[in-house]
Amino acid sequence: MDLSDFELDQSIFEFRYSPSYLHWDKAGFLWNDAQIKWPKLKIKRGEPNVTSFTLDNTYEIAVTLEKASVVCYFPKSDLADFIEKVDYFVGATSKQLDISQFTRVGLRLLYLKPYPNVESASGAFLQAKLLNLPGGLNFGLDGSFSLPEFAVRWEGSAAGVTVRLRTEGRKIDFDPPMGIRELEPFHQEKFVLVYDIDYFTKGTLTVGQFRTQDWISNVLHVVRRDSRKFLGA
Amino acid sequence: METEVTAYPNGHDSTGLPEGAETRLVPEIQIIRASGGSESRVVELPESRPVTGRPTARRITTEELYSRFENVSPELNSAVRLLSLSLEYIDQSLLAHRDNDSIEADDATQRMQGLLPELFCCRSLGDGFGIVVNGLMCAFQNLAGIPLRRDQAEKVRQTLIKLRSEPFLRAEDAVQSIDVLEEVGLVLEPAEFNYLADILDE
Repeated sequence: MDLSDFELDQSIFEFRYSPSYLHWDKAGFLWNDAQIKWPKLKIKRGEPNVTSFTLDNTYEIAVTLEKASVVCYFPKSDLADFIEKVDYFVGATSKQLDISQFTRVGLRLLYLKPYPNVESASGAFLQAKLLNLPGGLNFGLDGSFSLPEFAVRWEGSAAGVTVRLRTEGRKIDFDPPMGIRELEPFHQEKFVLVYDIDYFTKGTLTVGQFRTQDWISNVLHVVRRDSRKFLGA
Repeated sequence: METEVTAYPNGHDSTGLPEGAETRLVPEIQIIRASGGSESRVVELPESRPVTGRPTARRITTEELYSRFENVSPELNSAVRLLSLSLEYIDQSLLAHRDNDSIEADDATQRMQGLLPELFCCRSLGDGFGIVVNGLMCAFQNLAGIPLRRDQAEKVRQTLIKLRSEPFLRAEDAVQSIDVLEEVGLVLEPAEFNYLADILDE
């Protein structure tokens, strides 16, 4: 199993800062500028402590007093569009909220691999050989294991990473309201192996030290390079 | 000494949407009494913050931020290397000033000056970077061969340190950081500006 077997489901970029109460005064400027750049921006939440918007049904962008984040659903694997959006958003937010230091910067990538049933998803998890699951009777039970999960966190002096590998069941039940001929009911149950990797900085860094393109593309490179060790490639 | 308990729960403190941006579930508590019927009360959950380690204010250096990476942009690599070398030269110059060796001090400063055109080639790192390096180049050009004084060399060192620690500094921060050079008598505008001013006056 290799990372190329997975599809990138979500990419999340988050930066934290000391509480910036300028959010109460400048949120309008920030989002107004953003709307000029991204005309399809739609408001999701507008409250004193949180403002969040969605874009193209793909991006979810939020700012609070202490942190801001960009979530992209189904991004392209090179993250080019995501990096461009994040780059603008980091610059605009730092400028409007007068942020000079970031207390934490994180990039989280969620990769998925679908399986038809729980047994095959759990079997794929075992291929990575991250956990030893003894056979036979365990805890007085002779049942089989299901939906295994593994999580580990490393911390270096300047950065840390949390790696999670888990199997999940996803069930969708959609019954349209009566009287709408155009909508069909939709029911689906599937199982996925989720490879979730969260790379973050430890300690503070100034805005002048950080360039989105360099940092994200390098984290992506490191993730691609070292993930094979976890996935048992 | 107080005992500190630090917990590192996996899954908490993760990169993601801010807590406030998510819909918080508000539980409803139903109080049933023997007399007086039942009463429903909505209870606002207190803000809970997971303990995810000792808060750290340690500053990450640019080298730490990018050093473990293999494919940092060539401009950043060159800039950090050249700025480190420039700092070595300016340190040599300051040491020579301390020993009253003006010739050695000027020699070291000139070696530093020789790196500035190459540093200027890294200006794609940002407008702030370009402003600082251009300011330094103009300062040396306007000195017209007169050696840097010790106080000027100290401010040049201070500016180089700032640039090495924040290579992507914003233009407004760059302007602030080169103001210290003007305070010690260095002229940062290109020499041609004088002629331009004369032409515009005419």
